[in-house]
Amino acid sequence: MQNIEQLKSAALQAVENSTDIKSLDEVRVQFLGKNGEITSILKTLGKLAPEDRKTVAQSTNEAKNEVTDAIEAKKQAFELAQLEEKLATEKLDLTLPETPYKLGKRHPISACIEELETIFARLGFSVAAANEIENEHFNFTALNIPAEHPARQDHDTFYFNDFEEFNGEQQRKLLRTQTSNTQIHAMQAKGAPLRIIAPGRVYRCDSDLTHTPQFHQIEGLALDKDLTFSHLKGVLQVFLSQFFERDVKLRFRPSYFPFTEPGTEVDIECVFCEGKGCRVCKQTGFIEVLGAGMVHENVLKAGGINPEEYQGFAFGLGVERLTMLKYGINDLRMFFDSQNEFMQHFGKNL
Amino acid sequence: MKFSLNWLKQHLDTNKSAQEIADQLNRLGMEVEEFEDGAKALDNVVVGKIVSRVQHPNADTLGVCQVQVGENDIRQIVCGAPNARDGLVVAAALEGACLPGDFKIGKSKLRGETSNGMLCSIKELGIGDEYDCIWEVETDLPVGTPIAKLVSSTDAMFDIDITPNRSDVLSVRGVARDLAAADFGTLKPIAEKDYTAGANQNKSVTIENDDCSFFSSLEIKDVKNTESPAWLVEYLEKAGLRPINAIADVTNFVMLSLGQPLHAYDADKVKGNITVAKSKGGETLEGLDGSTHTLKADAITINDESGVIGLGGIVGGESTSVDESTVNVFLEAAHFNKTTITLTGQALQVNTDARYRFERGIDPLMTKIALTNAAEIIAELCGGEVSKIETVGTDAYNPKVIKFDVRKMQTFAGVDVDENECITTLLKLGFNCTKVEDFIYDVTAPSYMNICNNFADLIEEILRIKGFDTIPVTLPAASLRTVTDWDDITLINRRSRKNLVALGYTECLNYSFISPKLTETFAQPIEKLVLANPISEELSHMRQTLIPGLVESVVKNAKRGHQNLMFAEVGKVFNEQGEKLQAAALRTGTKVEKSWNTTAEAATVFDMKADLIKFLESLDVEIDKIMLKDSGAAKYYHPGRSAVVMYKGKQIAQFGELHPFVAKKMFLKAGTVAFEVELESLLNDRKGKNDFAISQYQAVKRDFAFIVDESVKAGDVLMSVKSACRPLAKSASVFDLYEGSEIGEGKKSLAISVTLQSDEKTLKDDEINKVADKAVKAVEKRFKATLR
Ligand SMILES: [Zn+2]
Repeated sequence: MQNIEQLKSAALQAVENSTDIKSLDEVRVQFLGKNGEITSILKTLGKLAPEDRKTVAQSTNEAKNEVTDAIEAKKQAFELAQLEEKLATEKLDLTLPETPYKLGKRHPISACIEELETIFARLGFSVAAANEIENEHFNFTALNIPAEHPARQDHDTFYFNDFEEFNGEQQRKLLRTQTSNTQIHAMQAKGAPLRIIAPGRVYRCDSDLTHTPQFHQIEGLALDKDLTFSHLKGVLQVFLSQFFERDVKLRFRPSYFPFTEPGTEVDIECVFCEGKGCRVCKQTGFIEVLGAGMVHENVLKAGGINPEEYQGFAFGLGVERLTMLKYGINDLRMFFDSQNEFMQHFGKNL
Repeated sequence: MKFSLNWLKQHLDTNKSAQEIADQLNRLGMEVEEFEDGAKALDNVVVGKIVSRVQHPNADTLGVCQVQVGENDIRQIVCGAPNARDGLVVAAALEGACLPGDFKIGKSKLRGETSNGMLCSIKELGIGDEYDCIWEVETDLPVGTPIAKLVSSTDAMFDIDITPNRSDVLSVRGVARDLAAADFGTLKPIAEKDYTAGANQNKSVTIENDDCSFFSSLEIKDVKNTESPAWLVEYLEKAGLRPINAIADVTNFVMLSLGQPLHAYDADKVKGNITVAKSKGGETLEGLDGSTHTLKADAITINDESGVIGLGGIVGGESTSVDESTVNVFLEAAHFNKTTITLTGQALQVNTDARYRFERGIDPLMTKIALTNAAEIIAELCGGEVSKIETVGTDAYNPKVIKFDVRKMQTFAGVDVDENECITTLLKLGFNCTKVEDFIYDVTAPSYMNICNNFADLIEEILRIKGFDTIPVTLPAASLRTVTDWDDITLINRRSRKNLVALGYTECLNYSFISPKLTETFAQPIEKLVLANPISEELSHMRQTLIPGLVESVVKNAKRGHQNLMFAEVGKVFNEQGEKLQAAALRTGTKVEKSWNTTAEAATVFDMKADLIKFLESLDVEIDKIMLKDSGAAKYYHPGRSAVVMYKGKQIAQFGELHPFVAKKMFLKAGTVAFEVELESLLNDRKGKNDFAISQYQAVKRDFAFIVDESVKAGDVLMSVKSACRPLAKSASVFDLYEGSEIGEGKKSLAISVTLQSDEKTLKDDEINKVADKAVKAVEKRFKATLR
């Protein structure tokens, strides 16, 4: 017995004293190998007296297990140390640039449209769409702008040498000058009550520092039995405040759009000078952002809606202008120039 | 429309300041585009006294003055005026002043001497014409007093934008009338001279055209036409008009003042009597606007015995115009049909102040007043004897009766206005109101408001005067309609933009129109998609695909050094049938930018195919149901490296390497790859519910290498393997492709790996072998393949 305990201590001590995996393995062979000192005792068990055999076997096996565990633990320690040593040589300079994968960027205008769609969705408006090539009826006549109306000339319309028959008349085709054409299509398709916004491209034959021949508008239309001008003010107040992320002060001025009556132009307090007057607002403290009004009865009729039964409001806003104001972009033409630097800078992340 | 405050004050008795008036014009719906306040120009200009003046050391004509501008405030100001002298009381503009013409005053140095302001002439202050010496102010007021206190009236300039519905304010008087209705002063009466008793006119007028309902005239004999006097020139110049001669200027002045266009003829140049007729088409007129007009049918013509001498309501003729030698004048004031005026004006492209007013509508009751007014001023300026006024037709005004329920103010505008206030406001604006029952009135508009047709017009008028800012702000009740009502096209539009960006593309918005040259490179030009009036040829053809725009974007950026780009666009494209929504993407350059750990490996058509497949999957396309056709892609793709994508029997997309010829022509890097997806062909393709279960049983792989003819499509072999192993094939892939002498000329080796798995049991070897055998046989049979 004494022998086994001494042997175990010697073995554990030898494990402890081993300096590397190789010397540890020598210890294993010395004690637990085929002819190892502990193994030898187990081999001689048969020669012992049966009354001693059981106790010797038990203590020897215990010693064997203990030594085995110690060797295993020591081995892991050596391996870990070895690994650490190796890893130390694998150190990378992580300040080196990352692999240059790039994020895509959303165009600021299209991102802004989505932002506005989301705001209006909260107010119960759904999104509708209509064609960009339109005929005179939907772009003008149905919107209470008959052929001889002075407002038709103010539109700088792009025309095609192409006509289509509508209402028994040859209607000239054109690029829509306003998203308002969606009003008529939506009324005809969905009827009232109705709350829609319609974002999209529109075109005017005008090109200079502050005009591009194509731009984006969002049309809004709300019809119900009891919608009033006061509700129009409410909706615009909420939408503009949410969009500009502040309590925006609005100014409503009487104005005129053939498809509204009464019509109004809406100014916001200048976002740059907070109404004090600056270059952007031409010292007036206000910036015009959209046109709106109560829907004209002729427009309701053109959309197949009974003006005795339904009334409501409409508005139209220029997306470029709102985007420029919100993000401080000062050159309109950059939007359609696809310059990489511009898009990486002003483009929106998903 | 431009006018001055002084002009306005001829019609309006008011004590409001120019600034107050400008603000009110905005509130009334006349947007002030430009405003120059004469009173403001006198800010920081004060009474000063020259304490001493000494000669400027470096300039003979300048003096250095010490000017007292406050009790203990003496400033040095350099002045070149000959009358600057000790003891003189002057107008001193100090730092911060801004004189007319945006002339800002600050501290400066003149030839080395500090000058803290400016001593002003009367002209420099904008209050008179004297300019060669400084103003010698006569006053008892102490130094430092604002000079404005000494100036009885400063003028101001307004430039207002008048919307097409406001013909009533297309005159200074109209503006005055609107301000008066808003309690901004009192409208002054117009002194009307009585010309009912003069001599008969020499010329008679006959109307043979219904588009002229009223024609009034006066003749003025023995005038001496001259240059206009200074006051008249000033009014016209401030209104942006060029003075011509007194008679012509008076007609313009009266038109601007009262809104009625007038025309003066040299009576001696008019042959015989005057007839208002309708053009037959083909007649010509030498217009006062300097061009010769060939008339279409149905224009309103003014004729003498020789033919057309004027286009009624649009432009007069050169042959009968008044000039400095004119002795006898025939003066016309008439009513012309606005629609006819518009159509004629549009056809001839003539824009005149007369047309502008006639097509928006004039005040029928102002016509005769304007005529007599003009005659009176002409006689005053040029002498002469005014004839009896003669009229043909009628200027009667028959307004429409509008039924107005005052409660609409609440139910339509959402404003709580009492009945009395509504009616009072309408009366102030000149409406007639008769109560017919409780809350209901019969309302007729005044003669100058010719487009009031319904209750909404009346509400607008009341709100204008009350102020739109008084309308309360309320939100409508929530709508039961929700975002689920969105159009499918809107949803796919939105998802496409996001998903392309998620794949690493940057979104462009290019022009919808491109150049004819670009169109020809990418498509067959379509006549009806060409703009009749483009901005320029470069932007004249509607795009038939988004690719040319993306190509141009990439090329433009490449010129500035951006070689590796991923651009995409979602937008409308146009063809014979109409327009449709397309999504397109284009890649050029390397897969990733060259860096210390990347190689400059070009993005290939297979990278693009991967992007396309990911994009389609992101739009819920079931990828295992798409088929590729290697022919039929657009001609701008490489014929051997492009394909169209078929899905459920429809072509939904195409992709490929751009044709080297196109690339060369566009200065585009060879190997540029692109795809286009027709989004509308994916509508109504929402993914249905699928049974979902994860198999509990072991999956096994089997690999085969087939030797086939070079022309055999890998996709077809894969498909064949998959269908032979159905329903156990979970996936199949090509893990190696080899072509070389080892396997023979015109042959290739395709190594295919198929994963087999059952949802019901663990597959046994013989089952697996059976299926694998079936696959091999199928491929061998269909493609004359041999197993390697
Ligand atoms: Zn500002």
